[in-house]
Amino acid sequence: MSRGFARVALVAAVAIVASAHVGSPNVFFDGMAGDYPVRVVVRPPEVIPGLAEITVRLTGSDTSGVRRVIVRPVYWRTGTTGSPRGDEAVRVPGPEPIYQGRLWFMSSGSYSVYVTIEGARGSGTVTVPVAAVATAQTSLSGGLRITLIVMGLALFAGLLAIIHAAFGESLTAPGSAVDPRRRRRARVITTFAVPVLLLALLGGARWWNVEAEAYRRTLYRPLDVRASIVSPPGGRAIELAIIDSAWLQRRMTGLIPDHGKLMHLFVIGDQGVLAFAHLHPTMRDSSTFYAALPSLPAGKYRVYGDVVHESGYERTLVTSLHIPAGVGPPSRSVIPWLDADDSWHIGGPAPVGDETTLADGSRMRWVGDTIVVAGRETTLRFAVQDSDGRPASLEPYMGMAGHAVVTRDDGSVFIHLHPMGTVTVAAQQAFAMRDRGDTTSAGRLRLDDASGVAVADHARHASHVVSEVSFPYEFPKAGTYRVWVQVKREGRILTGVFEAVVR
Amino acid sequence: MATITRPDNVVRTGIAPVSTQVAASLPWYFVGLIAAATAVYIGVIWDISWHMTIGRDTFWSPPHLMTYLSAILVGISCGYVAFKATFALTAVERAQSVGVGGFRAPLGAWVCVWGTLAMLTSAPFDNWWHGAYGLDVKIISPPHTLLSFGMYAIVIGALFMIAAGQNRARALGDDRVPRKVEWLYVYVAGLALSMVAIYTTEYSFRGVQHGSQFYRVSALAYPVVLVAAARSSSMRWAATWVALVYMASRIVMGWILPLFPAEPKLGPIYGPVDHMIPMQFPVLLVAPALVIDLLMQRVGKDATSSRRDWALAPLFGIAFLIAFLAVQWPFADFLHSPASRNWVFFSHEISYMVPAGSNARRYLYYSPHTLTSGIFWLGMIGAIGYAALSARAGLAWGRWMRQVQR
Repeated sequence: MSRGFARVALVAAVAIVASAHVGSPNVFFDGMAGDYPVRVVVRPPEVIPGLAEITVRLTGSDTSGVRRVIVRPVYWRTGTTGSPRGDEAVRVPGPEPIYQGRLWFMSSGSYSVYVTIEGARGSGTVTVPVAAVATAQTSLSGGLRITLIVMGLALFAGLLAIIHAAFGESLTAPGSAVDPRRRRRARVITTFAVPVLLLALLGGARWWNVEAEAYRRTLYRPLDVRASIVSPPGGRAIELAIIDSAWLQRRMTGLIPDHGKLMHLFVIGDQGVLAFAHLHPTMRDSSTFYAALPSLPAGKYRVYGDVVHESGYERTLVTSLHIPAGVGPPSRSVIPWLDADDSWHIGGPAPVGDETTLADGSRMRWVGDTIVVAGRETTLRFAVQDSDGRPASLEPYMGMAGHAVVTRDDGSVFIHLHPMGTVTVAAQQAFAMRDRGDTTSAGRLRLDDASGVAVADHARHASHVVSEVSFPYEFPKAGTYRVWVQVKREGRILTGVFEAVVR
Repeated sequence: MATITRPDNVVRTGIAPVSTQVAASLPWYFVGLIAAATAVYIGVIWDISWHMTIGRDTFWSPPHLMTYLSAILVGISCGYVAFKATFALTAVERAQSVGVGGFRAPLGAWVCVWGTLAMLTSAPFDNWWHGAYGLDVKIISPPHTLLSFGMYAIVIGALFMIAAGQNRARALGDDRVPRKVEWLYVYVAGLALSMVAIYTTEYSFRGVQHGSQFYRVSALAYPVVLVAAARSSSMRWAATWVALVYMASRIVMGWILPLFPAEPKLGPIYGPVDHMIPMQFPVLLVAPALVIDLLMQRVGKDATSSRRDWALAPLFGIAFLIAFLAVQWPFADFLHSPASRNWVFFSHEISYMVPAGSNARRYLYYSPHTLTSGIFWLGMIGAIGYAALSARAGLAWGRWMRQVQR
């Protein structure tokens, strides 16, 4: 079945209901598959079971030795033993070494794409975790709808004609005329057949609705989460409570830490509030998290909490928070619930391509491709110079050269980016541990052993000065976006803010 | 009652003399039509096995091609017949046709054409359905139902044409029906029963064969075909042969398919397979079919009145149910036992997508009912009702098939 044909010719109205990554479903990975530098883009299907499209670009300087690129779908619950052999990705004609493949994601849940490169430098595999969820509702396109209606009417009329003939002419001896009594009987039966057939059609339509409703129930629904300012013993905090019954009834796998943090919480000002916070809450009980409350200006905020499940499933919890005036500790010397890697920034953006001055006087500039077009794969690159204009030396911030957050002004898009892309190391670890067979009989992982698992490309442990950070990304739709870029310099976390108008 | 065509009618309408008329009761394109109907059926069995083994297919996969090309062949040949009968104005062919929309063709040919159109309509519908609700790995869905109606119509159309030919020949004396035609009739009725059995697959797994729902579904689906065949065929053991055609086709496919290596191309794979997995061993319809034949021999094939048929229906229904229960219940135990896990009964052939640790893989029944469960017998009351209704429909259909002339 040709997915291209289906998408172009048959799909008219696609309503994006919700997305596990808040408006940004595509997965980007920039890193190493063994000895081969690659960039992998996975566009998951909007309907499960459905086809995912995988693009693998070899980013190394010498790609001539590469013989094959294989992509393989691995469902976390069944692991590699329960996945089919991979497909060979097809080289896209052209000068660049780009390979494309298509894989079926058959079940909802935590999937990953194993990309294997085979060539002169041996074989290397990298795991790219993807959340497989149904997110779209399609309806019949105009052309197909008309075709089906016309054919349906023809079949309906044909059936009536057959019934009429079956009780009239076909019961008459060959060559004889149809007895008038038989002709009348045939007409009566056919007349009675009309409401019967209509009833059958109605039943069929109802059945269709039942199936559509059953499908709608599989659509991704974000977890019900509530954020508020609380004052427990110990001091004021932001409380994030997961109040969804699916969570409270333990119908989901638990969370695993990503870079030592169970949740990366982003508090982003809404409607003109120019503030941003990147916090790391502590788990108070199985459904409540407390995070430090920095002194942010009053107003309405959007709250995004990035978590990773034991199955490697990456999720963003979404809610809103109202910060009243006058909260926050009076002095910044003691902030309850503070994590050493927490950071926040108050202030507006510089336009694209311009420079923005960071808190310690250094300057960050958006370099490289500054014309941004929706739906086009790009790399967001930022260079940092110290106040003298020399390239600044950046330190790893939670193991990465930098972190970025991209949101659309209406909140419909949110993504937390790393130099290695949108994937998390924790999810990759979850699959690596699954491969090792390291599960209990209930399918849970022994995470205290995670340190022994090798994961491909955990940041560039550079011996040279790193002054640039880059993030692979593709803006999903046009609009006005804000990009926060966070780097660490001399022990201090610095945030630069940019605005991008995406066409 | 069938209208007897008297010799002077034959002369008046210019229909050819007896010998060629009997020969003409089996049109020349018929062999091709029946081969195509068989190919449609084999294609479906193959496709189901493909989905149980490989999982991934395209619109143009080999079993799909077999099914659709056969359907198109049927549509073309029946359409050609209609064209010829309408425009060629051969007296015999015109006389043996019914008119639809100005064209003339045997009624069965029209049913076949309808079937082809239904199958072709279901294709883009099914394609869209997969894009909207996900690739379904089940047999019963709205687009698949339209497809199955179409396939069933192709087989039924062929059946109607043979029935008409048989009745025209029988009108000249019962011994005038060629043996070949009788066997063909029973064979095509067997194909019809086989099609019905495909549609009931998801209610007939061995794991549910100790529950009343299986018997309710079977009571609704099978008696209509068996009783109709028993009444309308001139053979004494027609229903038995029909059931044997169904069973033989499924058993032979169960022997042949595993000879071909294959591996799953879709995950998640809950159990490794390296060859084509066939559908489960057929249900033992030969036993209730035998009983139906015996009963039909006693009551006689002729339909005298509608009231009599209403009285006969519960008899046939209960006879079906008792014979079926008596045979299938212990056979279900056999299918769960290690003795059936060999190439003859192939109960060890399990699709890759059956979850690990499920009752199916552990050869356990899905529900705990036994012959002493009150719930089971309560459900069987419904089965009696369904069997009677199905038998009544079969009697009516059989009566019509003894009367159809063109």
